[in-house]
Amino acid sequence: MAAPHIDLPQGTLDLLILRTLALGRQHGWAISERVQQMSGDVLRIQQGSLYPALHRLERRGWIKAHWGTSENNRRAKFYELSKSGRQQLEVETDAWAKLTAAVAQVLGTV
Amino acid sequence: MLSDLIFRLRSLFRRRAVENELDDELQFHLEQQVEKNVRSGLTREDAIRQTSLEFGGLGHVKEDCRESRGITFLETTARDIRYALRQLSRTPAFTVTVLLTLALGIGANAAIFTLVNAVLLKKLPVADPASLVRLGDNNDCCVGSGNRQDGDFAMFSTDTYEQLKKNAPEFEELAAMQAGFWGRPVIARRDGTQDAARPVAAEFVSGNYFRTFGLQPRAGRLLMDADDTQGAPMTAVMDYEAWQRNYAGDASVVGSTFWINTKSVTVVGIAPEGFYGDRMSVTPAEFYLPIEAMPVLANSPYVHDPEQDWLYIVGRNVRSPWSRSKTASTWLLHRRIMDAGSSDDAI
Repeated sequence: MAAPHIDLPQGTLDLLILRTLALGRQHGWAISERVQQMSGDVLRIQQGSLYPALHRLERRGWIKAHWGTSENNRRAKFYELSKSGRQQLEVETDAWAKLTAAVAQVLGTV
Repeated sequence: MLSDLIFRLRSLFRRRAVENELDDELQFHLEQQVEKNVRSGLTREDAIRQTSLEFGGLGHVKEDCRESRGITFLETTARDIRYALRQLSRTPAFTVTVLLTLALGIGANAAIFTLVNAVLLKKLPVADPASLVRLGDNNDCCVGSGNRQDGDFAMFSTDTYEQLKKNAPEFEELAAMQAGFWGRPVIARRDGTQDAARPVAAEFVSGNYFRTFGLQPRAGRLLMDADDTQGAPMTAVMDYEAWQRNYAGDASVVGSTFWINTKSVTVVGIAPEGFYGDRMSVTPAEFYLPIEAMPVLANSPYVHDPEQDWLYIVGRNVRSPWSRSKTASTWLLHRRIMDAGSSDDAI
């Protein structure tokens, strides 16, 4: 009955948040929805771990937070990518590509 | 790093605001999720239950957020400090004891370091201090207190000094200085000013005093042998600190006339900065005056009395390191001079 969700591997949540925000500013709920959508409903963010991650990224200066108005006219906290966040996204995307390629290679040879 | 600090400090000091924002943010999320679940066909009640199940414990999430914002460390530290202060204020006697112990300990260490730094660590402001030797084996001072009979010597008469100077080839220079100058101030006033005459410390020294220490004048010149002769024009050298303190380093002090014990004396120069006298005192003499000026200036009858010991002697010995044999030969010479003196008396 439930979709075959996969829990996120350690450390990938930051990457997914940064990637989602690269499309434009979003509030927290929309980020989790977006990830789920874009992954074809396979990836689901643990909602309890989303906000600590957002606050951590904000503290590192990779994302910036502003209060704004949501689609349904509610006050919501929106996040957007900062300049250093954009660079960090590139670095992490690159690292992720290398990691998956290497893991795939190992799995393929055995 | 700075932005991180500002971010954390905001979290700490605008705590209420930050907490409210966190509440609002999570509340918004939960409401959105409830709406979504309702849209997918659940009753509102079920939707709320489903949402909170998915989200996990709210308090737990908030704590994680606080930790991500870096509040926890600062907050627990602040809490520890508050606790420590409360404990200390509860036991005032203990607190006072601890504070006094620390204050005295730190103070004593600072004082000792200041002294050690000045005396041991910093170089003496004299040339080649290792080749300087002081004659004598104690620190007796002041004319009339010496005792020639007990075998200890600290002070010498002018006569003994002159003879030692002539007959001790071990010393390249042998300088003499008034042992008890600080007990005998002079009255000094600068000529042509409205300054009141004041008692100041002045040290009578031999003409080669500054040369023996290898010092260079800060301004003007230092005392020379010619200054230390009977009938020479009366001259003085001013201490650097006194020059700064009383005349703000005024260059016109050099060459000007001072009235010292009502006699006219020309200040010919300023001693170098950092020279605190031959005893490295914090209160060195303000004036250095030649010994031969002493009978006139200070009306001292003992300057040329061979029975009166009143001088310290410092020698410079550069030819070879000081040794026990030299001590012995100088001591023998001193004995001879003294024996000659007493046999004169006997005659």
